[in-house]
Amino acid sequence: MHEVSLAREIVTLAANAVQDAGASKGLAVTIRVGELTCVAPDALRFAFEVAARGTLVEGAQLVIEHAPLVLRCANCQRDVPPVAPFKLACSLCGQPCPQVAAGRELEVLTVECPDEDPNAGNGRLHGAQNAAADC
Amino acid sequence: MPPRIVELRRHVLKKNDELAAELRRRFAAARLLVVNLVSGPGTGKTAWLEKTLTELRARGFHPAALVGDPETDFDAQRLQRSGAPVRQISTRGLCHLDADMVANHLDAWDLSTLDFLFIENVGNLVCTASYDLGESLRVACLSVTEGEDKPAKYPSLFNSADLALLTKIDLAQACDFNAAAARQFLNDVRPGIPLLETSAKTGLGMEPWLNLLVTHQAQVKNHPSTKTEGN
Repeated sequence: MHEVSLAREIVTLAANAVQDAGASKGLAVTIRVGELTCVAPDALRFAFEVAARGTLVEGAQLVIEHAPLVLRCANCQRDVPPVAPFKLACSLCGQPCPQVAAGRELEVLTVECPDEDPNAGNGRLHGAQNAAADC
Repeated sequence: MPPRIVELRRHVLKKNDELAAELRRRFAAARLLVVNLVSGPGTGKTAWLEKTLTELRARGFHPAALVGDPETDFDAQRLQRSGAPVRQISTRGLCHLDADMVANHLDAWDLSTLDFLFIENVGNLVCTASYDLGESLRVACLSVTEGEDKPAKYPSLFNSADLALLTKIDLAQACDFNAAAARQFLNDVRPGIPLLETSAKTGLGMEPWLNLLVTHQAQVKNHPSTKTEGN
C-alpha cells in the first residue's frame, strides 16, 4: 500500500511531460503495472486523483494497463505464463523459472494532452504538492 | 481537435533507482556490504540484528545499522546495546524506506571504516519490495508465528529477496509450523532462494548466517566494482 508515494511520482513525471510538451494540461495518463508489483489499481487511482490536485494533471484520467507475469523458461527456451498465479514454474514443462521476463513493470507510458497552441500554457505549478503518507 | 499523445516510457520509481545506484557506487567504493532486512512487523528482525551486530563485533568486524520505523527510536536503542553505530530513521508514517532516506542518514559516518551496513526496513510485506536502497543483499524474514503461506500471500516481497531467514524456529512446535510447506511456498515465488532456519533466542542459524555475511563481505572487499545495479 505504497500507492500514495507511487501516485506522487506519477503525477510529477506526467506534469513535467505536459509542461515539456508546452500543453496546458494532461487529459489522461497511461501507466503499465506489472502483476508482480502487487500494486492495487483502485488505491492507486484514488491516490492519483488526490496527488494531482493543483497540478497540470489535475482531473486527468489514470489509465492502468495490466502486465501479466511472464517467465523465461530455460528448459523450453521460451517465455511462458506461470503454472499458477505467482507460482514461478513453467506452465508447459513444470520446471521452476526464477527468471522473470515481464510482470515487474511500473512505468508511465503516455500522457494525453489537448491539441492546442504549444505556447498557451496556463502558468500553473506542476508536480505533486501533497505530502500525504502511505498506508 | 484530436488530443495528442506525449510518450514518456519512464519507470515510476526512476528517481529512487537513480539514488540507489548512486548509493551502490558509494558502498562499493567504501567496500561495504549492505544488507536490507525486510519482513512484516514482529518477525524478530531487531532481535536477530542485535545478535548479529554483537557477534560481528566480537569477531573484530565493524558493522553499523540503520533502522526504519514510522515512529519511536525503540529499535535503535535496542541495537545500540551491541556497541555498533546505529541510527533510527523515522519515516513519520511512511510504510517503507527509500534511497533518499538512507542517503540522508549516512552523512556523519565514514563508510570506509565500516565492513557491514545493515538496513532494517519498516515492517511491511508489500511496500518495501519496490524500493531499491542500494543494498548488496536483500534478506526477507519469515517467522514461524506468521504461518507458512506468507510468501504466497506476499509474492512481490519474497520474490525480490536474495536470501530468506525463517525466524523464531524455537516456537515452531508450539505453532504447529510446517517448515517443509514454508519452504515450498517460498520456492514457488522465488525458485532456488537459500533459506536459513534461525532463532535469536537459542542462536540457531547464527553460525551459517555469519559465515554467509563474511563470505559476501570478502567478495565486496576484493571486488568492489563488481556489484550489479539492482533491478
